[in-house]
Formats: sequence, structure tokens, C-alpha cells
Amino acid sequence: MIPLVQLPGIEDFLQDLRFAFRQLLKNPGFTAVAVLTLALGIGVNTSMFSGLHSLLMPKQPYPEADRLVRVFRTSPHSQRWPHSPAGFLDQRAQRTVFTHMVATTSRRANLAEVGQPAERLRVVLATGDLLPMLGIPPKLGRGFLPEEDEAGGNNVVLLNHRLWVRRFNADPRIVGRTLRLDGETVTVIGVMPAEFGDRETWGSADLIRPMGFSDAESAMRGNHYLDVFARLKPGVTLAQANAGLSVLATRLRETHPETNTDIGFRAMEMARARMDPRGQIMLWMIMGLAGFVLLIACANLANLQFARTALRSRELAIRGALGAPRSRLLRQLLTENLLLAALGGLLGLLLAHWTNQWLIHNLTEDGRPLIQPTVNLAVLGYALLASTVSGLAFGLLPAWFASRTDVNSTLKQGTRDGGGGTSRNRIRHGLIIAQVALALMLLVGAGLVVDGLSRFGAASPGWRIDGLQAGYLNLPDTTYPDDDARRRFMDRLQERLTGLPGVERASLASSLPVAGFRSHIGLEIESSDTAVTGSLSSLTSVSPGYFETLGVRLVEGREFTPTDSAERPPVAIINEAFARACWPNASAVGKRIGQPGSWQEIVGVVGDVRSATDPGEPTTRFQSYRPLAQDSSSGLAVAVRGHVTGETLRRAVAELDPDLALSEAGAVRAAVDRAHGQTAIAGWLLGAFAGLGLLLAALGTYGVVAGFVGQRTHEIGVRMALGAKIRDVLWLVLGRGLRLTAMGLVIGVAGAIGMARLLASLTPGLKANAPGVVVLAGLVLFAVALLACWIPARRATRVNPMVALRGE
Amino acid sequence: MSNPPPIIRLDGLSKVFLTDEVETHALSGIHLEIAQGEYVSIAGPSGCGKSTLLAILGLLDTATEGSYALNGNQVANLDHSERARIRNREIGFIFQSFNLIGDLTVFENVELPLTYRGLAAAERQQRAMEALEKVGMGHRLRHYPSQLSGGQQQRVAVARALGGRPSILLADEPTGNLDSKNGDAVMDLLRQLHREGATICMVTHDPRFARHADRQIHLFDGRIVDELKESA
Repeated sequence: MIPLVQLPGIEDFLQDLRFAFRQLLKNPGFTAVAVLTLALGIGVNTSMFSGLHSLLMPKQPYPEADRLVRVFRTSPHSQRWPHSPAGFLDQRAQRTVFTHMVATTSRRANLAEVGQPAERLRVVLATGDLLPMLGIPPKLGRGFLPEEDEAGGNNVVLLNHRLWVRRFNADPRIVGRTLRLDGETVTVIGVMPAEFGDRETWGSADLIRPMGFSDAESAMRGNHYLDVFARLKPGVTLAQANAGLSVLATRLRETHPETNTDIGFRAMEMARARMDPRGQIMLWMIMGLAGFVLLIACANLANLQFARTALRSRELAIRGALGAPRSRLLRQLLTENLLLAALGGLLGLLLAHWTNQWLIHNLTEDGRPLIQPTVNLAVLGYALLASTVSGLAFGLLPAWFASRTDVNSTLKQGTRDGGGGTSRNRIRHGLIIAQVALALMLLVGAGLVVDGLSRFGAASPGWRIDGLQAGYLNLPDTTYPDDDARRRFMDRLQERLTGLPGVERASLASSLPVAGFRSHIGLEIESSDTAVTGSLSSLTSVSPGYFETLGVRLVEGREFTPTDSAERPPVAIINEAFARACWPNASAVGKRIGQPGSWQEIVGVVGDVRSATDPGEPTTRFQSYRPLAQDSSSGLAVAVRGHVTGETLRRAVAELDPDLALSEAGAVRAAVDRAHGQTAIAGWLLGAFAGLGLLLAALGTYGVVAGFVGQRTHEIGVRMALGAKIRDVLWLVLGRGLRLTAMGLVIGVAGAIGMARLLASLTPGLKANAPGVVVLAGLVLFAVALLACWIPARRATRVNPMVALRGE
Repeated sequence: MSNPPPIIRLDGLSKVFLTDEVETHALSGIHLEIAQGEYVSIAGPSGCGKSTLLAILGLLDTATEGSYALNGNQVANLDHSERARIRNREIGFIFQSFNLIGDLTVFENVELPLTYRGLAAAERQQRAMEALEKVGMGHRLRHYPSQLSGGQQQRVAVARALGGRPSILLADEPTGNLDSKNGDAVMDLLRQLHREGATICMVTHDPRFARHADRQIHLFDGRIVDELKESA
């Protein structure tokens, strides 16, 4: 039997490989530049792919995870709406394609234990089938019993592994222990395994508790707050599930037309449904721009390879003369390119690993990484594919040209530039033009994102972040069962906070505009002479002094006062955008909004306020406010202006009710900066891509211009001997490089305009028309290209005519 | 019994170079036959077309007109890959500037054309060794061309040409880059190879070396103007 290495194809390949290694070792400078260039291109792409893969195709710890889906309510307005309890119960009762259907929602709850400060935890409320649907048992204890998913029976909890370790030191006897949660006594029945920690799907949950719908909740059709998950019956495909859901939606439209007009349902694989589309778009955008870096790197290497194969044209001609067919020469050269690509890919994997580690450490929330990119089998496959495609992309054309070297003329003339010189030069110039164009598009893309982020960071959000302290708490129904109880506590809390040393002003609200507005309501306007009816508006309940505390400008009318009590006529304050849209030529004060039968009189107009951390477009620009006394809330945000610490605020709350925990207490500026830091990472990444693209384009331009000088040394010598001045020689060389740069810039501007439009359509907050960014990027690129051309041009002016002519 | 066909037979061969509407007749109406075992030299002044003729004989270039039969087969209109295959099997080149590949060892240089033929490793090695032994370079297998003198490099080039056991050796000014001592040694080597049965066609501008051949062809302005055959 012939050994494998002696089989003709294998033997030839090994021989090519051996020679390729020798070639790379013989040219350590070229090899280092090429491998590093490829490593950067492949590394950033592999890292971005591993991030994308970890978010969009996560490894799920559930058996037959491909049968798990998330069900969205759809409408002409959205494809990802949540469900109402009654709607969910209808779907569950009439399901035909799912074995299990589960509804979840999350809320905050206060955990109080004797001897320990109260803590505000994140609780996932889930209908009882959660664990059977997922197919995983708890690490300790048991899952929910059917009777525990009924109203009044849901006083049991499962601890998340992280909370169990952090708060209870991984106590193995935790099962059966009782905890005080929002004033209720609940029993720990189990601990979830560590794998059950998927932040994207379950949020940063600390506890899981049965939903236990009350009768009133079970009948609720207008309040949509539930996320619904399901497990497909064995053998049912996603398409069949969606067909089944479509039938179900039709049936529900007929039975409950009041809440189901235009409504449909859509099932999506749970793994894919984890991320919101905007986040996915951002990731794909970053991935796309990383692809530009690899394209520029390939164009750069293709140019280097053209130069290199030209230098090797004699060797290739000798091989041809000795009988090597073109295909064999092509294979030899491609082997070298693929070897280079493989080395670049290996180093790129290392770079990707380091980049991933950096992202894991820098993109965090509550000390936990937001993404967990890892170099797994899929990522290795991607790196291999990227390396192979790169190797072919930068190597095929130069190798093809080199394999077509005119053997006779190359051997006869001993020229270093084999056949195909003109077409080869055209392609090399084309590659430079492409590199410049791609680099400009990359610069503009990164510039637009950085511009959008910096504009967002620099623009006033309509309220004063600095000097503001905040914290969040929940008033549990058990201790504060009605509006009166809540109002009494709120009055005491505001009084206590205002009396703290160093506090200038204090107020309460149902939420703060740090991350945007969460609560929205459809409002009508009492007057019939306006076209704006049924508009969606954000709704925030605030205490007296709220606008002054936050530093929101009062445009017209007045703030809420203590006299705006529950007994007094309902009042509201709206923002300027709302007032301008509804009453463009008149004052909004005195007008009434709300719903027929419960109109609220507008007593003031305040400035527009926006999120301090979310650069995205808000759901609506209309903002309305109600007095907390008239529209109380169990979730409260504390806002204090003055010199006071978060710990002081926490103590102040605990003094009033030791069972209440104030979470995230501290300076708002710090929270905003943290959020900006995470957003800025995207800017940093894109900036780094743009820098890389710029560097590679500059190197490419330098290489071509330097090659031009090398080829024309004799000609330059003749010109100088004939009286050419230094500026003539400078212009001869600079003109060559700058002409190519200018062509690249022209094409790049067209591409950049298209890219700006695309990015702006995908990412709200980015400008579609940003001539400043395009001009600045063009100027930067031109300046760098000028420098890249200047260095060889200066060298050309130092050519000694005598030496050059003698050399000929 | 009829004579075997000549290894090379050219009939009315012409080569015209066209540049910017100017026609340059490099070769005109060449008729030439080279029989098995002949040692032919082609001489003439610079620009007379001898290198063009050798390039056409070696299938590195194509004629504009006329026919070319190698071992009785018409080869004038073959495609690129077929020409490469014939070059590899039937023709051994010896160039003026040796044209060894600097990145390959002496042994690998000699082995190279045999790898293109797809021979098994053992046979390649045996043939390469035999060829190197024949030219007296068997002791420098692992050396690189840059580590050899010009004369030694040309010996290696001869070994490379011999390794493929070609029908004919085409030598293009084989002594052009050598000093007289090394030049004489290479010519002695060619003579010895001829004595052992090799067919050789050599281009040279040096009448002294041209006289080494049995048959001396003189080329002028692209035409054969004189032919001298030494009696055995």
C-alpha cells in the first residue's frame, strides 16, 4: 500500500507547502506585514462574529432547545408586542401546536431579613409550566406545583443561582427557608442551576415566583405586559406553528373583537427572539463595518502580492520553461497565499480572543458581562472561512496574472516585470482606488456613529443631570394596599428627604427620564377642533416640586402643588411638543386631555425631556405628567438635588420602613456615565476599525507609489539629467498617488452618502445628511494619502542621475 | 528499413514581430532538420534571429508561418498546456544565465521538472541523482545555487536538462556567462553527452564553441545562409 504522503496529489501539495514555507521565511518583512494585516482583518471580524453568534445563536441549556419559541402579538404597528393575561389564557386553552405555553413578566420586590439591609430584587413571575416547558429541573428542591400557580397560593420562590451564592453563601439547606418579600412570607422551594441565567431572555432575574393570576387579572384584556414562551409539539415546524397561531388569531378576533382587531401572533425561535431588532441592527452594522476592514486588508495584500509576483516572474518563467503548466503555477502561488491566510487566521483568532476578553470586561451591567463572546466551534469555522476566502480574495488575481507570465520574453529580457504589466498596473491602481473608497466609507460610517453619540452626549436632555441623586423603590401591595396608604408614605418620604442635611430639593416620581419613559397612554383631547386625538403619550406621575428638582423648564402655567390632591379636580402637565402639536396658535393651559369621563385640566407646560442614556428615537415625543397624589404608583423613583450620598438616601428610606430597599441609589451622573461608557464602546470599536482601514489604505498607497518610484528610478534620473527640478519630480510622483486617491475619494463619497442613508434608516439618531462628517473624513484620508505619497516622492527627489543612469 | 523521422523538422518557418505597424522579420523561410544524435550549433551575429529560433524550437515561442514537427508530430499550433507538457518531456533547456531557482537546493532544482511530470518520488530521486553524478555535482546536493560557482551552476543546469531524458538538449549560449576555463569545461561536458548519444542544438555567437558541433548552421538576418557539416 502506498503511504498517504506518496500519493501524487498529496505529494505535490506537500511540496508546494514546503516551498511556500520557505518563501515566507525568506521574506520575513513581507510575511510579518501580510500576517499582521490579515490577523487584524480576520481578528476584528472573528471577534464581532463571536459576539453576534453569542447573542443571536446562544448555546441554550435546555433539552431540544430548538423546539422552544417565543410568541409575539403582532399588529400593523409592531411585530413584537406583549400579551394581556386574558389573551394569553385564551391562547393557552386553545393551543394546538404547543405542548406548553408559559407567560412571564418581571417586577421588583423588596427582600427583608432581620439583621440585613433590605434589598430590591428582580423577580420573574411565571406561570407554573415554566420548568416543564424548558425541560430543566432545579439544582436544589423542586419546581412549582399546580396549586402554587393560583391566586393566593403563589407564596413560594425559586432562587436564581447567582442570588443563592451571593446572598445565601450557597447554603445547601436553603430549601424550606422562609423569606420576607414585599412584606409577604414566601418559602424557598428550590435553586435554579447556574446555566439558567440568560440575561437576554429572563433579564437579570434573582427570583422566580409563580404568576398566580387573580380573577381580575385573568379577565384583563386591555393591559398587555406578558411575555409568552412555548414548546413546539414534537414534529411541529415553526411554519406549522405560525399557521396554527394564525388560525387562533382569527378565532380570537371573532370572539373578542374589542381587543383583537388587526392582531396576529408570531412564533420565533427563543434563541433568536432574545435580542430586540435595534440591538441586532447595531450588531450587524458593526459586523458590516468590520467586514470593510477585511476587504481593505485583502485589497492591500492583493497589491503587495502583485508586487511580489512581479519580482518572482523570472522564477515562474523558469518553472514554465521546465514544463510547469499554468494550473500548477497557480496552485503553487495559491498554496503560498492560503498558508499566509492560515497564519493570519491563527493570529487573528488570538486577537479575537483578546478583543472578546476586553469586551467581556468592559461591557457589563451590574458587574455581569452583557455579552459572552467565546471562540467556539462555530467561531473557529468562521475564522477558517474568513481566512480561506481572504486567501483566495487577495491571492487569486495576482496568482492568475503571474501564472500567465510570458515565459520567453521574461527569460529573454530578464525583466523583473513579467507579462501583463499594463493590465496588472491597472488592477493595482484599481485596488488602491477601491481601498481609498472603502476606507472613506468606513471613516464616514464610524464618524456618523461617533458624531451621533457625541451630539447625543453634548445635547441637553432637557433636565439637569449633575447634582441629582436618585434611587428606586417598590411599595408592596401587602403593606401599602391602596392609594391612601401609598400617598401617606410618599408624603412622609418627601418630607424626610427634604429635611436631610445638604438637600436643596427632593421629589418623587413613578419614573425618571434616565433610560427613557416606560409608561405610555393613549390620550384624547376634549376639544373637537383639533386633529390630534388618540395620540400616544408617555405618562409620569410626579410629586410637587418634581420639575424644579430635575431642572425641567416651566414654559407656561404652573407646577403641581400640594393642593393638587386626590380630592381636587384632576390636573395634568404636558410638554412643549405636545402643546405645540395640539394647540399651535393658542395656550394649552386650561385645555383638557384624558379620556371621556375622566378629563384632566392642563395646568402647565414644561420643556421637552429626553432620555439621558438611550440615543434611540422615543416611542412618542408627547409627554404628560400627573400628580402622584391623583395617580399613585407602587414603583417610585426618588430624586434629590443637593450634596447627599446614596447611602444617606437608603438609610432615610429604611428609617421610614425597614422592609423597603432603595436600589441603585447614588448620583445620576455616575449612572449616565456608565451607560454612556457602554455606548461609547461601540464608538471606540468603529473608531478602531476606521483607524485600521485608514492605516491599511495608507500602507497600500505607499506601496504602490514606492513601487512606481522603484520602477522609474532610471526615468527620474534621465529627467533630472535633462534639467527637471525637485518640484517636477515631486509632482511626478505625488501626482501619481494623489490621482488614485482622488478617484478613490470620488467613488468613496458616493458610497459614503449611500452608507449614511442606510445607517440613518437603521439607527435613529444618526444623520442621513452629514456633509461635515464626509468632508472631514475625506480631508483626513487625503492628508494621510498625501503623507503616504510624500515619503517615496521625497526619496525620488534624492535620486542621483549619474547613479541611476549607470545602473541602467 | 526506412530511417527514423528527424527529431526536429522545420518547413518554411517564419517569425514576424509587429510593433506599432512596423513588421520585423526575425526569421524567414527556415528549413531545418535535426536527426537523432546530432550536435548542431546555430551561430550568427547579434539580432540574426538565433535566439528566436531556439525559443521556437523549445516551444517557448510560436512561429508566424511554417510548420514544426517534433519527433514527427506537428507542434506549431498546440495550446499552452500541451506545449508545457511537451517541453517537460521532450526538451532539455540549458540557458546562458543558468536559470536555477535560488530558493531550491541543487537536488530540488534538478528534481523540479520531474515533479511536473508526475513521477513517483523514488524515480525522481534516482533520476536526479544519476544526472547530478553524470555532471560531477553529486557532492553538492544540499547546496543552494548562490553557494556555487558559475561553472558549477551551469553543470547543475545541464543535470536538470538531462534528468528528464529529453529527445533534445537546447543550449542557449551556455558559456555566455562563464569565464573561459569554466566555459571550456561546460563545452567538454556537452561533447561528452553527445558522445553518449544526446542530441544537442546549441546557439552561440562564439565561432570557437560553434566548431564543437558536428553541424554548424550560420544565420544572418533571419535566414540560414551557411551550413557546415563535419565529417565523422
